[in-house]
Amino acid sequence: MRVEVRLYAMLRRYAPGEESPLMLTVAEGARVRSVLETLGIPDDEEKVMLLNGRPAAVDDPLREGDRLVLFPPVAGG
Amino acid sequence: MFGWMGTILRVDLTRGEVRQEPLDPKVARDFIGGRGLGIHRLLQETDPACDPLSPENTLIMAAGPLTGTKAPTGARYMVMTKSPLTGSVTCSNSGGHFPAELKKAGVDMIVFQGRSPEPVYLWINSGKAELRPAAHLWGKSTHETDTRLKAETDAGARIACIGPAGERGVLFASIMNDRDRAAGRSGVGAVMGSKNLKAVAVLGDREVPLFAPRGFNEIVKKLNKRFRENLKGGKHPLNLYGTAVTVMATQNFGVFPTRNFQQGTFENWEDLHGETLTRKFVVRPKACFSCPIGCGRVTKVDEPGFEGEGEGPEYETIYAMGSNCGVSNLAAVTKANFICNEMGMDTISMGCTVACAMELFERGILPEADVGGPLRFGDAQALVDLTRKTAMREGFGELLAQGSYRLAERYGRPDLAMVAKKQEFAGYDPRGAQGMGLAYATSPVGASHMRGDPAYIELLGVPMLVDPLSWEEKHVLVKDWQDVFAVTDAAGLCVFFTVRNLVTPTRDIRPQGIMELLNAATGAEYDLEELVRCGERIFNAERLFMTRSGLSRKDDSLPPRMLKEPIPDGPGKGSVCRLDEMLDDYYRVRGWDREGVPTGEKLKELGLG
Repeated sequence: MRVEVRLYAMLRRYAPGEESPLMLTVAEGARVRSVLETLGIPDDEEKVMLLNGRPAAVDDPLREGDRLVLFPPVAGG
Repeated sequence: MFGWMGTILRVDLTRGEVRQEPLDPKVARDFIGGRGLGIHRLLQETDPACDPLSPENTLIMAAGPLTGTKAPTGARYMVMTKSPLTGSVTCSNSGGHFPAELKKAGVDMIVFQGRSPEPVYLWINSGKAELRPAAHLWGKSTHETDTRLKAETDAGARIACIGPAGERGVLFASIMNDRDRAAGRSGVGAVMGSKNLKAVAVLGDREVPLFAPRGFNEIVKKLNKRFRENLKGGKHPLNLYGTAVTVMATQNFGVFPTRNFQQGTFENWEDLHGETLTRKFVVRPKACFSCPIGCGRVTKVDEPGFEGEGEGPEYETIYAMGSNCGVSNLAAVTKANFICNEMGMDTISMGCTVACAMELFERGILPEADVGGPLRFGDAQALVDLTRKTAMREGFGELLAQGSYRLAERYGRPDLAMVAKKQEFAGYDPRGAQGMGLAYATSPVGASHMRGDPAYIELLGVPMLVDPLSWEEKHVLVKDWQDVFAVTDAAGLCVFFTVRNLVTPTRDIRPQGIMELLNAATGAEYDLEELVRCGERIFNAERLFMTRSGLSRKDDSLPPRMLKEPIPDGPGKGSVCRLDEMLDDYYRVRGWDREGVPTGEKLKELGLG
């Protein structure tokens, strides 16, 4: 199934030169973790993950057409 | 004393006299410094019913015990006074280099009283302080004032000053230091202007004495090492993109205020975020004193009509003058930001007041004749022109200079001002972030994201994640954050370093790291419970001043749009802010009565009775 992935700020380096959003193909029953593994994003990389606009955990299941957004957990100013 | 320099400057502007007073060690311990010392002094000496722009108001500048030390981000000070915008106490925070220089000159706090018959500035030169004539500076921009004062005092001096906006009493005029750092909110610049005080120039030659220098340096080394390791050879996102990086978070969480808070997402958000700012206008990053992060932006715009140089814009400016005004032209936002810095005005209140005017105009409530031209959302040129006019209180700028609440009230629609206690919101829509709504409503200084910033927990998961749309447990979290932020502010540290590195990553939010730094610097031997209590004491002291100013539960409110109009877009679509469901529980955990007044028992517990 296909999911849409958007990376922002320094997280873009995990998909260099790629168009945004990335369209990734993952196996049926895959979880958010599969996307991170495919892109080579380590567990300890600080990030906010939103799945269809809601905070996501690595074990959340994915469905066809889901939108995953990742950006650094920084705010202020 | 250690950490604290032990000296307060009392400046009687009416008589033109400067006196030194010792800092009471017990007060220093109980109120930590900065924001704490300031509210203690205001409660003691200032009539909460006074007219904020009268000689009876007191203007306080206070640094913390860690300000001017090598503690990471030990760079901050607080300006405290009664605000002409809100009618309540205010504390307005700033970094840069001026606060550290105050400490090096031997000063913890300056207390300004009365009103000078002629414009003056205060010159502090290590141990000596005097008032000097400033008539030749009156009317000058903050930048020109900074340049001229360095020439007539010392090239190494650090300057805090007002611009024409503060001189003219714009209700949200700021005090700028080091040219482009702002004690921005609540009109502290107008209070300074009402006293005919143009600037404070300071030069120091001391080091801040430390109780346990070796221990302190070990802690600093450990913190800096951990900070570097966490970056894993890369740079901090705040260093790469500035606070403008926040746009990504607020847009994706659907809390990016758009068109006077009518929406929570902005279709042109990518024109305004940190990556765009870096690509187009950033010359280089800039750091405050003793800061390893470097979130400041030195910027330059060459686009015709918007040319300028300076620093910023920050996230809050980008929201208030950008998405909130429907403006996607970052050059225009940056230019309006430059004007605010040079004239000395709060960018948040400026942008939000224009946004409110835009909605009033589009609804046919504000006549074009009153404005002097059309004023629709998205009009970048009008944003810039009206910012200039507001600083000088010319034309329609005279009305804008009163802030959005008084503007909207004049046209019979105060409900269209997105404010709490007449101060404009920060860049988070409370319908999509419930804790932020409670924070806006219960902050004693009016709507502010800095009196306990729930965005960290609700949006970013720092130190841990909670659901932004839930409201059941927010009363406890908001209280805890408010108290920890009070400790941070009073110590003289910056929130950007503290929230990740100096508090425990659990729901308890204990200021472990701040405690270690404070004890090594001052020898105070705080334990965690006592330190948290200091934060609670400071917050309750501000609440006490607020209630004595005449504010109460009815002022812990949000506009009808936040309480009754569901947010139309984003992940929070359909939500309203559940303030009514949170407020009673919040008063209960605070130990306040049903009117939001601290009980006698709570005051006694905190030593405020």
